[in-house]
Amino acid sequence: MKNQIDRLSELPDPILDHILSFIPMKQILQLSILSKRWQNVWTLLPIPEFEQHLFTNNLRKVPPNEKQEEFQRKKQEFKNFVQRYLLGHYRQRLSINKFRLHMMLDDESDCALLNRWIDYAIECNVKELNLDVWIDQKRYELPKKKYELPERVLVAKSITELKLCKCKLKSFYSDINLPSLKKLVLGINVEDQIVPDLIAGCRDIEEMTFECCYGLKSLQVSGLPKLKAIELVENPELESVEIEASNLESLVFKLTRPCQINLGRCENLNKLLLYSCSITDKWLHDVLSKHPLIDCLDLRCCSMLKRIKIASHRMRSLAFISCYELVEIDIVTPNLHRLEYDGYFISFSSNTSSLSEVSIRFTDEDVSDVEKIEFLANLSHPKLLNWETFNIEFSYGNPVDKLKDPSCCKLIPILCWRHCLKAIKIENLRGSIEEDALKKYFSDNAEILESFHYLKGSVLPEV
Amino acid sequence: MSSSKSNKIVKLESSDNKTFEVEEAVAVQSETLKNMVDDGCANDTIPLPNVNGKILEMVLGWCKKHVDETVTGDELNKYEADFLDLDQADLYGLLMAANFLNVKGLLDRVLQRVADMIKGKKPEEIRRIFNIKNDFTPEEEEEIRLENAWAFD
Repeated sequence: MKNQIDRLSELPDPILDHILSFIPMKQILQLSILSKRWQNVWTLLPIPEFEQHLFTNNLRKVPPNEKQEEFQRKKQEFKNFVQRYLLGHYRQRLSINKFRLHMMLDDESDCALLNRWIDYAIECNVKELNLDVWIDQKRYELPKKKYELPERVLVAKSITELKLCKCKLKSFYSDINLPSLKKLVLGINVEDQIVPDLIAGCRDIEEMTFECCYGLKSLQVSGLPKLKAIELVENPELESVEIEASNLESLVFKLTRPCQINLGRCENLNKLLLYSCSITDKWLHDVLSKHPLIDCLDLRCCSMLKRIKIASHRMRSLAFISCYELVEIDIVTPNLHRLEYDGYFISFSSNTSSLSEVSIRFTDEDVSDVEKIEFLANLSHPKLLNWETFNIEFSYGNPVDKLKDPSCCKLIPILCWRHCLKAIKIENLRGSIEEDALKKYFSDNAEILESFHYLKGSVLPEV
Repeated sequence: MSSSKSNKIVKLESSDNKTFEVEEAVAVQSETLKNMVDDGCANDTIPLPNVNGKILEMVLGWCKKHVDETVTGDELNKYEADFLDLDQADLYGLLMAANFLNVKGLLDRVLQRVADMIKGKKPEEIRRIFNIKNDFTPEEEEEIRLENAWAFD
């Protein structure tokens, strides 16, 4: 005779929680039908993300004339789901760690509903708030309406991370005070005048990102002692940026139009990424000399740069990509580990001895393989080279004889590859290589070369 | 490497008055017992009124196995898998004991086992396996299904 006791339902809540943490969300919802005790068990669990399209996307099997109705039904289901989750937590005074919402708002009543949800979340001391919400664009309405962020959010003491997308900030808030905010990511329309208030209200902020923020024309950052990273990406109206942040470590600028960049005292800056910035040689050299701690520099599509000269013991990673006006690069960077270059075959001189990762791609068609290798050879002793469709591994050993001042390595602190290159392994993943020319070049020039391996990888079939 | 602890014996008494004697190294696999030992309360027999003899024997067997250095990783895995092949009464007894005694790893494994018994099954099947009484009226049940239609798709 089987024992008919239902022990599972009698388990205390914390143990049940633990068991449910091993079970996927959808099935947990099904458990709400088991019995009255199970009806609301799912509301206790942390659900970090609510995405409307998970509910409303599967309408394939619905006949076309019923699709609209079915969509509305599913939309309502989604709203109920979010509502019960938030209400459940609110009523039981449970904290919400993370609340992310991705949803299309139909009308004013949806906006009001969202305001109430935000209220619940804030009452539950939400830490990470992520809103990706937009108003359904009815064809006859112009201009596009956007959801306005309620005041409550900008004075919420618990919020540590705020991410907003597609909605908008009002032009005026009576108070902005986010004492716990560490990370701010805005991908929304803003009005210029609100930004200084916003910045002033986030004393302890550490990371700031503005991405595609229409309306953002100028940005002044100062007086943020904990600010470590700033990212300004594709803000279409941004004209001027002024930054002064003594603890700033990382700066990323991706511009879409000319923009004035003034970097004040950012003594701790060590990572600088500039994409599509109309910076001049002088601007770059000024910045590098004022910020000697920079160890990672990434320049892409900076079309005003012509001649780059970098001398830095700290520099560990350099990338020059698609800066098509460059004619010359001269780097004295003894501790450089990583180099990436994509552009024309230009004059490149370097003094580096610890390069371990090199990635090179030349835009010119008529550069011979030997010329390319010579270019690389000037980078002294790279161990691994990833170059378009080849991977080249260099192995080095000790030179055979003590040489008296060879001309090829006069300007670099160590003996160049000609004296130390022992083995080369070329892996050709695609395309063709002038194998014979290269073999001859190396055997002519590398004094202690022992082996030259050429492995053909997967070769594209002949058309 | 063996510990240089004295081979102190810890005495335990289950709810049904069975006594068990184990080495301290085995007993302290349970955080609860470890705290007692550290606080110096483990000199007399420790009564465990919420764990019966059968379950206590199982738990101590688990602890012994995990202190035994001659057991290989594979052997231990097999032992753990076989260990949890229990009927529901014993499984719950073990769950409550592992929770109360706070035995490293054991509670997690038991809970995982229970979760495995639930995963992927339809509500009707779960009710049957766990003897859960459906106290909804058909109308109430239908209402919940509609409310969470997404989950029952």
